[in-house]
Amino acid sequence: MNLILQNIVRYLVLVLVQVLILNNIHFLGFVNPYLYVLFILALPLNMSRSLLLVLAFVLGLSIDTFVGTPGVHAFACVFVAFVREPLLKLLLPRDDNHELFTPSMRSLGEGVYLKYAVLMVFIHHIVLFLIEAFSFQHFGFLLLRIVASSLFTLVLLLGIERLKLHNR
Amino acid sequence: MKNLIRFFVNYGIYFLFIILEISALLLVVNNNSFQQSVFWQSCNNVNGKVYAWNRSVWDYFSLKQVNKDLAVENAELRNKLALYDNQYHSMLADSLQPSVFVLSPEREYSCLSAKVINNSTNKLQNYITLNKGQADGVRREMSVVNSQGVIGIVKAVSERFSVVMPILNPKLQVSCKIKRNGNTANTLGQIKDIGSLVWDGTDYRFADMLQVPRHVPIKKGDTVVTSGYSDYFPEGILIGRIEEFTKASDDNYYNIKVRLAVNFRTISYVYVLEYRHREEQQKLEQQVAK
Repeated sequence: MNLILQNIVRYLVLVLVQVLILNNIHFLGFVNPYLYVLFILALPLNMSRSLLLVLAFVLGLSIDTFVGTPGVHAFACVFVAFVREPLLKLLLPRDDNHELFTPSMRSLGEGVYLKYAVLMVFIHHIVLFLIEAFSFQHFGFLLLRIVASSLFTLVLLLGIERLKLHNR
Repeated sequence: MKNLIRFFVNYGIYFLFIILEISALLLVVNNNSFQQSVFWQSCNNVNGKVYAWNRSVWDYFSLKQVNKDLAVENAELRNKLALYDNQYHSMLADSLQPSVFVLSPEREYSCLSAKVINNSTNKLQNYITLNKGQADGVRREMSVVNSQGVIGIVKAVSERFSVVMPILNPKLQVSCKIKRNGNTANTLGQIKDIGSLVWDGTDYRFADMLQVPRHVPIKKGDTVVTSGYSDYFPEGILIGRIEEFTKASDDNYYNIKVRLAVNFRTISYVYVLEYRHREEQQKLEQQVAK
């Protein structure tokens, strides 16, 4: 499948799933997975960084328009998109020639992808919840929300990646 | 030029990142009332703390004057108390039915004392900051007076501070009336006419009284007090005395210059008045206006 088309479909599916299903979970009243961040994780590796930032902004804004919190998700998305490249540089072997491939469990290998996903998801959730709370009051509860939601997101995300790994 | 372009090519990504994050943050602060309130609240609190600290230093220099004012006010209150006591006892003695005793309209106001922690008199639009806020029961549009006379109305309130729009702000118009031969403490005296008081933005000692028709006999030195016709101030609180007045040949109204009773440069302790039935009154008036 064409890479651009593939990403557009992924964008649409992830936004719809996030807005229609995942946003209504409210597990234990406060744990909510934010799976849509998978879109940023799975964008092609050597695409222009500016395009990456703009796409992340658009993704965040589209979630924001549905949730009714303009700017909150956009901020977190742009931030996580910005740290993606340095993070990948850190995780990937130095001599690796960066071809045009999408980061997935198959292309990166399970270990590297696990680290990549954990770091990205945690960074995204930390920024997201901090912007949402906008203060350090009730910091313990905030931390609990961040960790719980991140774990929930990671379970979903890694589950999906694992399914893809076995199906192909 | 080449260097400049190279600079932007090299660091463009950082600019883009910062621009996108700032626009996201602007969206957050502008569109989410919670974050907005946190943002402004913290601004207010920081400002208020700085002002409070500043004021706590300057307070020492005006202690003498404050003491004097307090003593004067104490005396006045004692006098008033004695007056009311007399009235009450004479009424009890006169009447067989004490139940017809009517509370004075001032009783509908409850009173809260506050301290001025920031003040200006030299701007076109002056504001006063008080050290009492929402937590102490101050609400918007409450009236503020001190022992000398009318100060203004509360314009904004945060948790611990409030900002008052004094008479020294041309946005505030106070409904007032001219009285002669009357003690300011009670409503005795001859009422001449009503008008409204506005500050012209120049001298903190004087304000202008508008809308007094030229046929009304007024004199230099007549007292100007609040009229009680607006829902802000109770009736009969001193505003000032007529300093001078002129009649323009082409105008139906006087030009009256009022010397304000309050010296706004030295105010320190004020009272915030709450009119208890204000909401009810407004509601009723709006019903009729519909």
